[in-house]
Amino acid sequence: MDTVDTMGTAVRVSLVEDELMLRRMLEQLLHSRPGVALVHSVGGFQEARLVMTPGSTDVAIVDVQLGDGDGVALGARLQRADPDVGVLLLSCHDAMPAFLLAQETATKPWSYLSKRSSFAITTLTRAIAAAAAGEQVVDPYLVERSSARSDTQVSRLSPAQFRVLALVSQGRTNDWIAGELGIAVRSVENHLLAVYRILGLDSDGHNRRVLATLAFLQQTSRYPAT
Amino acid sequence: MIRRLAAATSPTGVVTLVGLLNAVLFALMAFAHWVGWGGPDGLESSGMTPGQVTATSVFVVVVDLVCAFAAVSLVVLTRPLGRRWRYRLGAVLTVSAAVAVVRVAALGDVGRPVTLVDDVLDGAATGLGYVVALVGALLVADLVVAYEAQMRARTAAEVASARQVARLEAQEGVRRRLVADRLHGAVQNRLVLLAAGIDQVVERLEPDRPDDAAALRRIADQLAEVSERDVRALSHELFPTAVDVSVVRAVRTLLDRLPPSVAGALDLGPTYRDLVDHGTDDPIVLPDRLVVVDTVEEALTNALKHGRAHRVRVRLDVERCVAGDAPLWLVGVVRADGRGPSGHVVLGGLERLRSRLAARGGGLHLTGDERGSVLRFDLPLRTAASPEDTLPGDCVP
Ligand SMILES: Nc1ncnc2c1ncn2[C@@H]1O[C@H](COP(=O)(O)OP(=O)(O)OP(=O)(O)O)[C@@H](O)[C@H]1O
Ligand SMILES: [Mg+2]
Repeated sequence: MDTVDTMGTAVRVSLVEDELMLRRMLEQLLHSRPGVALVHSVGGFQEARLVMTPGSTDVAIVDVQLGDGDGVALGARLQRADPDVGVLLLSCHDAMPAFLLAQETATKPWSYLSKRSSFAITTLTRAIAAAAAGEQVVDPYLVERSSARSDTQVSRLSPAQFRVLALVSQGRTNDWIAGELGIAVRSVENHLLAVYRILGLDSDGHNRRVLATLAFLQQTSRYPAT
Repeated sequence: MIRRLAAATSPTGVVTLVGLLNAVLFALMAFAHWVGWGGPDGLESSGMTPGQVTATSVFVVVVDLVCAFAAVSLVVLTRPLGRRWRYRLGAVLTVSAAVAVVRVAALGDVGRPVTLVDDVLDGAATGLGYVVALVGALLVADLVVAYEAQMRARTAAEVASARQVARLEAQEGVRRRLVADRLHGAVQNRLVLLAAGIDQVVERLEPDRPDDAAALRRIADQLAEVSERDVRALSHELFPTAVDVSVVRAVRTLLDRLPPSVAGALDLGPTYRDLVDHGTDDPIVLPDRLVVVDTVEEALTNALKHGRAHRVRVRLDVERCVAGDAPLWLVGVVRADGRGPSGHVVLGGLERLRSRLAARGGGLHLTGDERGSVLRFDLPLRTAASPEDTLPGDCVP
């Protein structure tokens, strides 16, 4: 899934990043993508507040730490004004607690990438598509270094189940996961059902992938014991 | 004694109280004196019935008490406090003489052979008694006033030094924050940019030279690691992560960094929840936030280091004060399992936090047993209302 454009119309993206060099590089990347229309590119909280009027943006890419304010507060504010806005949070460090706090009031699941990953065009595109569609992509580096906290539901997953959940958290489809792990799609589905059961996600809601991802992030640590 | 008196009454009250006490004692002494020198016997021998003798004795006591009360009231009415002693002595002498004359006149010839000499002697003794009682009262009141002034000066000095500490802390906070921001902005972003640049080279290199690509990727990983771990740790030392946004986010960040073997949780009390509204737009001023977050961090570190805890629970709530100038108090409790403190505890990090909390009007208390530890702390909250404590750029619109 390399392109964002699913309905024939381009996804309107706004970028809020205070580091000028990073912003220019991301602008270039976004301009090079078919199916993405960069409608606003601004350097801070206040500018974004003024420029990004409700209805003008499908996905807001927001740096978590802006020179003049907090990116998470900005994302929440944008969604309050327009519940259909998707938010993709960018951070040059692990801002997982801020991301998880934001999910408590999000009208649509957010996605989260480290800046390093955001320069990988395929990852960036995937995250934009997910944010627009109400799905969730979480940074592969952060997910890959996560280990289960003791005495949690996630700690009761088998290694295979843990692996599948980690890939789901990165926003991968079942087909892709099957290919990556060299197993049948059916097996991926079975692993996932077991994961949902262990995490207590019994209802068949379509956001179970998102709920499972949040549980994964809440119940894992990205800081090995020293 | 003086302290109690000062706390209980105004200086004028003290004059009245001590003056009355002295004057009443004096009146009782005079009465005892009268009895001792045979006053009642004299009355009886002059042909009174025992009932009449009792009535007369009561009359004498009542006159003495009324006169004492009058003397004290009249002196208080001249507002002697804060006046020179010349004025005070003038007032005391005038009042004493006048009341003594009235007393002698009121008692008239009750039970005494009345000669002019007797009256003059009696009046002089009474007047002198009033003078002693009233001057004594004024002296005590002076002591109280001096004590109060001293206390006020000390409180003012304490307030001034607390302000000074708070100002320095605020300045220090601004500088630390600037440096921490630079570390984040300039250094971390540069490192991330370098890692991303290497990633792009790696992608091009991968098909033809996979070994070089793998080696390069490891270098990029290390750069990212330096940015994430080392720079981040430095920046956190200077300025706890996310404390510029909210206490909740900063504490969640601390809990997130606990090792995987330790379970951490944050509970917010209902009042706190109302106050902070989803963890953004924290109304608590930055210097207060810094103390709170530093205290929680110290408690967590101690729980792991000394208590070998596996579960820690942080609770934050706000209590509304009924009286006093800080209507909101933040109350924090950090509970941990493991081995709690036992025996004599020598404070290190907690002592520094105790004095920081105290400088802002709060405190902390550590308890525990072999099943765990509980650290409680509290702090009167300054919310956005007092701008002198608010740092520039502190507010999220
Ligand atoms: N959670 C806890 N469990 C068990 N003992 C504790 C706990 N917290 C504090 N203590 C005891 O109280 C003492 C004082 O703690 P404090 O944090 O003031 O100093 P420290 O940790 O020894 O030194 P520093 O904080 O400077 O590294 C500790 O040495 C320890 O004995
Ligand atoms: Mg300590």
